[in-house]
Amino acid sequence: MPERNQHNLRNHIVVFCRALRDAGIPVGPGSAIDALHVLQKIPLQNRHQVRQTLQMIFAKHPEEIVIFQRVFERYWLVRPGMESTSEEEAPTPSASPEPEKSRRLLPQLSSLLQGQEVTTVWDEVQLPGYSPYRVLTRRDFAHFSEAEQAEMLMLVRRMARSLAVQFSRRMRSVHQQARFDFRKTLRHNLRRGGEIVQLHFKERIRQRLKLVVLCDVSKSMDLYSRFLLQFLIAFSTVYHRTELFVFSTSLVRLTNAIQEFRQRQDWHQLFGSFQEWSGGTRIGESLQQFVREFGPMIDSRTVVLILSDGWDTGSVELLRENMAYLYRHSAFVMWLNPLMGFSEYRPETRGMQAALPYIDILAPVHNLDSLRQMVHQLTEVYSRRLHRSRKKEGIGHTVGKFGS
Amino acid sequence: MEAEFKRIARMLAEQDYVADESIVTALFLATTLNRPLLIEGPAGVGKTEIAKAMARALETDLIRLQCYEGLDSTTALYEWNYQHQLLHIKLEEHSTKSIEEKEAEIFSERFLLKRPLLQAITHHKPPVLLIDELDRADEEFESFLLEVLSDWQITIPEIGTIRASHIPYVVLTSNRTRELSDAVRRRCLYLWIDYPDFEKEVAIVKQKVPGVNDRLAEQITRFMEAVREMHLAKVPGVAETLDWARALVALHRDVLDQTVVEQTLGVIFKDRQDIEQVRMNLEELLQKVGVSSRLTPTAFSEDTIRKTTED
Repeated sequence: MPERNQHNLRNHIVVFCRALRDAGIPVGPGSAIDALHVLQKIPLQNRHQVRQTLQMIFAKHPEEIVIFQRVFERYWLVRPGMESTSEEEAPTPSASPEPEKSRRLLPQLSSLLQGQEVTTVWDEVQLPGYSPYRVLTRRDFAHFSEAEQAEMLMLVRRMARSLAVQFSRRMRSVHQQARFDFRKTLRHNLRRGGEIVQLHFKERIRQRLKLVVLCDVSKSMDLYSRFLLQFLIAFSTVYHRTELFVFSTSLVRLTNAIQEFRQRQDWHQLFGSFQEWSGGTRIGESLQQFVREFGPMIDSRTVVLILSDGWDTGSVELLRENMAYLYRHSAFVMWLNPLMGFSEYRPETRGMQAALPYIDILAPVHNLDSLRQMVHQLTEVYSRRLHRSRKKEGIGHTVGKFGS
Repeated sequence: MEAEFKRIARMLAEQDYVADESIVTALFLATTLNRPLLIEGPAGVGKTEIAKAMARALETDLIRLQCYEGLDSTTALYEWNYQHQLLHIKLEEHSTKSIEEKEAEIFSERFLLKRPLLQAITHHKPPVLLIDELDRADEEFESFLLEVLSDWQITIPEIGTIRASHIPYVVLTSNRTRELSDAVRRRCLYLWIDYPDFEKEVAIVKQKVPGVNDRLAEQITRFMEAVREMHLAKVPGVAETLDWARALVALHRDVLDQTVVEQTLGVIFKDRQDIEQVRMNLEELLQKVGVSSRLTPTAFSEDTIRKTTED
């Protein structure tokens, strides 16, 4: 009897792990083994305790805790308490409570529960990767259905995080930590009769890039800004030197709101902090506001990213003036325009024309591939493979277009 | 099993640590599975305190590694005591020892400065290793840490590989200023701590601040709860609650009133704008807490508070 209980418990955990994976929590075999190990040591009658235990083992992120609790409730719903599981047979396919879920789980469940060895299950384990989404990376953000959007947002966040990690890592490899300063050591110690007692080290000054992002959230950008912002916010949680601003007719700094957001993970609250969401666009006025209030933020180690389609109802003169300021004071100016995803697009709006001389790179951001390209370009800027030649002072010329 | 749970709960209680069930479960799992425990949550909810209480409860030492930007492996593992080595060479200048002998001497444990990670694995009994605020360290350090946490051995070229005699209990904390890598998360048990609920916070205040009466403790806690609902730049944590309670006790107050709250706002809030915002809404806040009326605090359920906040 105890052995059969063990077997049942094992099946339960394996199937439960699959349910978790299905719901998007990447559960590895190690955690499953941990869970089995621990469940032998705690009273299974105490549902609350079992839940807490499994949660700590399986859910490793605040977002995952929410998912875990949902899956747990749903999965163990059939059997009112854990105690029943040891007496009944392991869960039957029909026991899966939610029809949509069960459809996906069904074949796996039945094959699994028809007496197959648990060990074979590990071989089949497929942790969620990017592969199911590959098709999605080339599609224009504007072409997603509501349902796909949710999935995309999660993917966008994940990708941003991993890109940011790569980005900051690659940057760091350029630098070295403290080095022995031979010259200074000798010089200082000669003063005391040549005994080398005091050692000196030198360290390269850290020159990390600062990113200042200005994102257009006006009506015309609505379809894109949602993705871009999620990308940028996720990016900034890993790459700290990011300052985020949104604008339409005026400009708002999001950096502080994001700090709070990281704690609470509340998208509504974050976006609620900006009143003029999806309004008209006055790029020139917004840029002027930026320059006036945050101008000193821009220095020669700053890359300015502007995300906008360039449809502008404000003053072109202001736009030109302030773009010139940004161009003069920053290391690099990138303008990302989702419309460049269309092959026939030419930057001919008045706003774009005025801004063009002060842009180092004009590039599309309309799908995941282009976001990836953008980060790649940033890395190039950082490693100085891509830079603006200062000879032609005042006029941008590296305007290029890539990946579409 | 159940006994083990109760034992941990009792041991924590003996250490004056007010633990709820999730914390006891976490410590139980961490000690049973011998896995690192990753604790996340807002600042000031007692993440670090868990490690300290754990060390006291297990009657072992706490070794702490405070993370910061630029923390590298030398600061975390070991360093050679260069000055000491140089002096030693100088003193041995006229000795007849061979070069090899001298070298072996210089690179012996005598001249090794053990940093927290090395200390932890060479400790005479399994200590609690607290890696505090890991989110402040760089990504690089995180991956380096992963290696140490999985192998439990450290290689020093001049000496050789040092294997852990005991595997320490590891507690990692993070304030979520940066997202930790998935690899670290996967390796750890995960505990999310939020601000304590009303009962727990009252219990903490009573436990930690001798001389506070029930009524004051409850009023203080209600006030803090209400304050945390406001969108402040720096949300006060449990540490602030305790500081405030101590301040009020020192001022011989056994009940809150508007003047004393105004006078002591600086104890709770560390940001000028926050103080202004609270001062402007003070009357409303105090009403919520039930300071002006003679109502017992229990008459104000959480729902009432939430409702008034929304209004």
